[in-house]
Amino acid sequence: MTATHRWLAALVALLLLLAVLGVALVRRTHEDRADASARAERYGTVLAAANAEATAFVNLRYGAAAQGIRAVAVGATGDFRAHYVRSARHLVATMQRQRSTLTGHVVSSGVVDVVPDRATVIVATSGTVSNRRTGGQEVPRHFRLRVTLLREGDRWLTSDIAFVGDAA
Amino acid sequence: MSRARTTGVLAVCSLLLAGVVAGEAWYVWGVSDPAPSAARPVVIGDIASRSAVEAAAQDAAAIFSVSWQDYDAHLDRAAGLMTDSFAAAYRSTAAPVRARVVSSRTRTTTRVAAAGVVRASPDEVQALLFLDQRVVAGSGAPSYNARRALVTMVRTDRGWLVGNVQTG
Repeated sequence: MTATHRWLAALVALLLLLAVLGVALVRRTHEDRADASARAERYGTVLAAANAEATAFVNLRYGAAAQGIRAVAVGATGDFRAHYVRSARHLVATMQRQRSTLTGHVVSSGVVDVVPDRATVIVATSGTVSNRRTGGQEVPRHFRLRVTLLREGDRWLTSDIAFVGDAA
Repeated sequence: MSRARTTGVLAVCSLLLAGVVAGEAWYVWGVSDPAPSAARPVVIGDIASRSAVEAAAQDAAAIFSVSWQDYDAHLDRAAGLMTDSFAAAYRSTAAPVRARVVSSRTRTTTRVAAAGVVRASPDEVQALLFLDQRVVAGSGAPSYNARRALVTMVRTDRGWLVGNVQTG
């Protein structure tokens, strides 16, 4: 074996070692990226679910109260859904008596915490309310909501909505 | 096997292995971090985003808690929590606010009622904060405000600094 062969053989051995170590590093990096990607998508999914539920929650019209309540119920689960649906008849009657219309949209939302099957999101909404008390005039109404979500199958459903402090 | 053939085989093996190692290195170190999007708004780890949101909450509470008695010192303290560009913008809007705060002898205390991450990349985190404010003007009765703030935190050599604040 010549000196050139010895050098080349040593180089091949070194590169082979690096390639084997590289496979392990690539595998670990791939797994880390897959985890990070799933986590990043989870944030997007829970924000979208919370935004949809909050939007339904702040859009109720006395002329279409049943549809509004149904829209909230579709994205809800557990005791929150049961309580909301149970009180629907009373809510519809009150809205029709007061000729209440609540409109709004999500201004911003942020994830407080999220794990694979549970999340808490805060949502700021902006909109208006009109009813007999406002003389039918639309009055600005901003809400700060805390939305708790549970993962059921491939969907994130709302298990609670709470107001954070008073409406600003 | 002839010397020339052995040399050729070893050289080809070296080249192939060098290509494999280069490919592995590119996969591990050459791919840039993903940017936040609507579907994946948070592309950093939970601990990193949480620490930035906590910094945003602490800094916002400090920035929005102000007394007429030490307004100038407050301005310096608050500016120290901000990036240079945002501190300059903040100082430029402070003069008319100072006159109003001092003349009405206003004291504002702010606490963060809730905080969540809206978007996060390795260098910039946007946090939604719900702020509860207690405002006392002179010897009058306190008033209470429920506000929201979208705070952008920027990673710098001095740690996370406030790069922008939008309130509502």
